[in-house]
Amino acid sequence: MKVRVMVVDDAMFMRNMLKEILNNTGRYEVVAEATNGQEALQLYKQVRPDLITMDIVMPVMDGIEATREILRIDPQARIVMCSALGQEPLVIESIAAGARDFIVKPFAPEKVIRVLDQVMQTAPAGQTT
Amino acid sequence: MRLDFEKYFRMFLEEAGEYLREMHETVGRLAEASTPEAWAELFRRAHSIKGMAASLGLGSVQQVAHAMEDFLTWVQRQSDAPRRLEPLVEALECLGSLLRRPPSELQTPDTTVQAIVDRLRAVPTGALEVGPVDGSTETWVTSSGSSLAPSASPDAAVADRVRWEGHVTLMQGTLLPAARWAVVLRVLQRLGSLIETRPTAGDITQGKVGRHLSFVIESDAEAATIEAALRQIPDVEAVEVRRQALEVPVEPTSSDVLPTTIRVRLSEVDRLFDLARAVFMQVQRLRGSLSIASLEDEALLRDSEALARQLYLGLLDLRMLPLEVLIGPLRRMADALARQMGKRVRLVTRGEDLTLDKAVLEHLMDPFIHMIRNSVDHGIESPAERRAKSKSEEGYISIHAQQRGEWMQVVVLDDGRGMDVERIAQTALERGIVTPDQLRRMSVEEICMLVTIPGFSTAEAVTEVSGRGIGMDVVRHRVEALGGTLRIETRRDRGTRITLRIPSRLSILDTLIVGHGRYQMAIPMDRVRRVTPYLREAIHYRQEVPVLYQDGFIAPVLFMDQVLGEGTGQPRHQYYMLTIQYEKGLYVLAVADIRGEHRSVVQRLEPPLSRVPLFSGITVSPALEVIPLLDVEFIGQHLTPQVT
Repeated sequence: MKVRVMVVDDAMFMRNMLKEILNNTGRYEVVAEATNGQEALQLYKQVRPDLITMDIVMPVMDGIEATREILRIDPQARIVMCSALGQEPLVIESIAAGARDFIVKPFAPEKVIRVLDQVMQTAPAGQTT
Repeated sequence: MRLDFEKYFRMFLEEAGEYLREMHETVGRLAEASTPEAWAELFRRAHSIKGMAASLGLGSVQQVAHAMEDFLTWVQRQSDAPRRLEPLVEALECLGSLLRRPPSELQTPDTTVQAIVDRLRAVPTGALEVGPVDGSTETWVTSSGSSLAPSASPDAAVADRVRWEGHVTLMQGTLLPAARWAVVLRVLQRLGSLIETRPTAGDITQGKVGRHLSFVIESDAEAATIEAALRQIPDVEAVEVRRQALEVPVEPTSSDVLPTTIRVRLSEVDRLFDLARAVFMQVQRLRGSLSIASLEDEALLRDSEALARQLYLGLLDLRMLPLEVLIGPLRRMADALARQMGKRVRLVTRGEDLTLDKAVLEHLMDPFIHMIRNSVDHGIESPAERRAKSKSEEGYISIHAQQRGEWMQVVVLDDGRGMDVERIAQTALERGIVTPDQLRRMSVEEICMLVTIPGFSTAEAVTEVSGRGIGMDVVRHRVEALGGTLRIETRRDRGTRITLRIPSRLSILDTLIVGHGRYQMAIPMDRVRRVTPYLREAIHYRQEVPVLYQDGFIAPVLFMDQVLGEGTGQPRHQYYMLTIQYEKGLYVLAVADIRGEHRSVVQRLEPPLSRVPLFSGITVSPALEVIPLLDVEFIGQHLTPQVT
């Protein structure tokens, strides 16, 4: 079964790029797209994806806030932050908030997949392997 | 002597950091109005950073700076200034973030650096159409309530938990390493209770990280389990976990406990030094304002002055560092350069244990880099060429330092091909720097000095090594800013000798720059008690001497025109009245103009120049004008009319 992914990014360019990278693997399937944190939160409740890629800087509600909110609903949610270089402090904040890992823009497809695979392999937060 | 890389790296950080701040400001100015000077200044700074980075083997920094240089060269050749400054701003920010990283991570450019370099290079080719690599203008955010800190384990009662210690290494070129470490911490926290990590969670939050992290964890998991969990994390190159060794308490001996030396941050020494200087000046000021009632009081004050002086000089000594901190890296740089160019060079140094004030050393870093590069790149010939000239194949460069009283003389000498005096003269003529007539009257040495004119270059090719020949103007600029002198001698095929004369210590003084007619002068700030506007009514006459009443004192007024022996004493309409403190009291100096405050190195005049009245030293303004320092004591003692 494919891993169901929600892509959250305000830039369509980025969403399409990620979608292509993920769909090309045949193992991941993008099932939802959100353009800001607020939308992501709504969609998460409806779709319950296995994995979320979350941009950090977005209008309405940013990725860090959205990460906190989603984890409040579902502490097991697997969220991977999408960061530009130079946003390291924000990534660290996101990790502290409970994000599992991060990928760096501009995206290198193999690297993105490696990180997502790894996140899917590990047990949900709070449990020991 | 072994090179103290760390010390040198710190100097680099300080200097490069300052350049970056300046460059940011310059870019800010450019956004408003484009001037050739501003572009040239950016270029000069980028060049300096490149030079320093190259000598420390910091490849990433070097690459970015080099790309900036090329970009700026291109800009300067355009008739229109580019409207897009983003690539430049990005490059500056990239350099800024590189400077926050440990040196071990700066040796080889990573993808961030490559991206920045590519973008800078893309502009001249017109290939730049993409948006900024990173549009964010974030600052380091310290996340509040971070859950990354080691968990002081609430269930520490678990007795069968084992303490493991481990070490994790990230792959070279890992992006966002601090964020990566944050992930590693999270994983560790899931495995047990984290006792400590180095870097700490706080360091990680602030981005103070490298490629390595060590930790101590209390966990019921096996070493293999912990290792496996860590190995799964992206970017992790190596993991090592073992049972923590029991600490064996060792009876300390007194030599363990009581070290004979301690390490102190230079910035701390600087702070104390500033305080000591303030105390010293304060005590001097007291002399002027106290009315000494008795001989005992006089003795007390004199003792205080002596103590304050000793304190000041003692701390000044602490700031002295051996020349080796500068020479060590140069030796490596010369080796590396020579290898790169297929040359053989022997660098011989003498006097490297002589000490110089830290601030002087910092100013000398660039000049020395430029001089040694010039010698290796342009001076020393290839082995084949040297053979043809019946010289030994190995080129010879020497740095010879000697202490001469308060001065240090440093001779940098090479036995290379020497400077091409004819070509320098030719270029100077072509550029209109000198007229044929002037040239005829110039000595060889004077012609050599032409290369120290900003932007003057005879380098035919832009090379990685000596760049665009902008080196020698930097050398001269720096040395003169220190109050030193520079001399260049050269003989064809015999080599070049550059002699620097530098004050070993700095006397840094806050001064007030005043203008009067066509003159500019500096007055020691600590002597200026007050500045008041000129009010004709406030001036009284006692025994036909103009005076001001101030704080119960009668202060004679001296007009600068009289002091300079200029004019007829015809009063101007406007003056600034500076109340000056001298040994015996106060006087008021009326000057036409106040140009600003300036903290600078002051060079005291030596005999025979010290016999010149009115002035006690010289200082150099930020615009590199030489400004004489007014001898306020002399004026007070000899030129001020005594009134009762």
